[in-house]
Amino acid sequence: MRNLWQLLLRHHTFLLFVVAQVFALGWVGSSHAYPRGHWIRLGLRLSGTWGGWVAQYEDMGRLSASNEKLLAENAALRETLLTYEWAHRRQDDPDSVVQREYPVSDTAQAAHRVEVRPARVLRATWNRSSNVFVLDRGRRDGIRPGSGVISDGCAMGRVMEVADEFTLVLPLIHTELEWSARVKRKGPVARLTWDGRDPGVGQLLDVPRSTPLAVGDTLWTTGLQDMFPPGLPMGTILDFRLPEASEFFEVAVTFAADFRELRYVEVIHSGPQAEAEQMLEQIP
Amino acid sequence: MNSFLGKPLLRWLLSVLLQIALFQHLAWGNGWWTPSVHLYGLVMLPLTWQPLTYLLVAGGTGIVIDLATLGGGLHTAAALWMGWLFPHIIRLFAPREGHEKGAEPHLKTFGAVWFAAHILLLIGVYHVALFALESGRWGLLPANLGKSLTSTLLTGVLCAGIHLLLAPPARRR
Repeated sequence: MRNLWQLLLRHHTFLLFVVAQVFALGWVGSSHAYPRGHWIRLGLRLSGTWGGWVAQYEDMGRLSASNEKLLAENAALRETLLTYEWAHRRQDDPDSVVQREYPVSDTAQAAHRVEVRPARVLRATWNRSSNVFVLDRGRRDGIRPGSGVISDGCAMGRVMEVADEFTLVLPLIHTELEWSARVKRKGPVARLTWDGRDPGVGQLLDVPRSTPLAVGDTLWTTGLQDMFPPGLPMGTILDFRLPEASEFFEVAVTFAADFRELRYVEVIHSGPQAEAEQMLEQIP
Repeated sequence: MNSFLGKPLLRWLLSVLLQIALFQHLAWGNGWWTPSVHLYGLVMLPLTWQPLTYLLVAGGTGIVIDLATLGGGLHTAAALWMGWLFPHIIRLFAPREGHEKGAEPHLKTFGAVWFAAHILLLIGVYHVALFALESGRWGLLPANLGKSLTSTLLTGVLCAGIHLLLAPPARRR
């Protein structure tokens, strides 16, 4: 026992290093891919408060009041537009993916209601493999985890964690996430990923070789992941190639959102998303 | 507060505040040049402290930076590696008779080569650990090790610049 005690005393720095490293790696593991929980919310509050001060300073002389008003108006208009489009598009649009053969009831329209909340980006990273955005709106403003985030009408990320006044968003440029994307309006559904290198360029996987592709073709949200309504632009095809003996294209995509320049975004929460959440909560 | 503790504390505060207020928002070349100015407060710590003190100060710095920049533990893990290796790196470049009590790194006292080796090695350890952990997948590791080298150079130049601006006249060894 005495020898053990002496051994511990002799190597106390190394032992403390190991214990602290385990704690730090646990922190990394719990926050790297899907950052949730108490420590993340604490960091969100600290980082958000500081980011708010910086943003306030930046806004001095930038007609911030007018900006806020325009943002709110823009969000209200987009809310109306998205709600209408989602409820009616499948019925009326001859180019729509799914033809709905029955009229849209008021209940169905209510179920497709999309809530849009404007928010300002307080802090953003684009140079990591797991990037994050911090927004100046939170739970008090009705933002919920799992909501989609758009910028200028283009998909840019999803809400991961929400504090009272701040929101943590994981953008498309995050190596641990995959996004459902449709190639052109009627094309196949594929997986949009990011390889952690160029924050302007993503990779589209699982596009069958039978798909007619062209540089400049647009990628759209599918609505399958619930966070976005279908039909929001995600990016355009930058380049593609068919590897020998492969059934799938390798496609490079230019993201529609410029993650290095984002200042204002909108958080959207859709009716079907709320319904799906309710259903999932009922599963024991 | 005596100068033995006061000066390192002031340097630490200044560098951490600079990083949180300004440098955390800066990165160039798709993240290839990422400054970590908070390391200035660590690399300039006195050379004769107890090994445990380096570990605690470095770990504490990592926690502060992680909480303030949403680093998610990456900076803490990297800073712990730096804090643990700190006394070993000091010993690596120490004169045979060891450093005199209270000695601090100084460009003019120890010379440019010693100073550059001291700060670049410490900053390098931090950045290699940070970017290796941050890569999260094997495919990104080579590029991130490259980033750690370029970011080490940038941070080293910034730390040397701050040192030249702030350091008092050199003491003779």
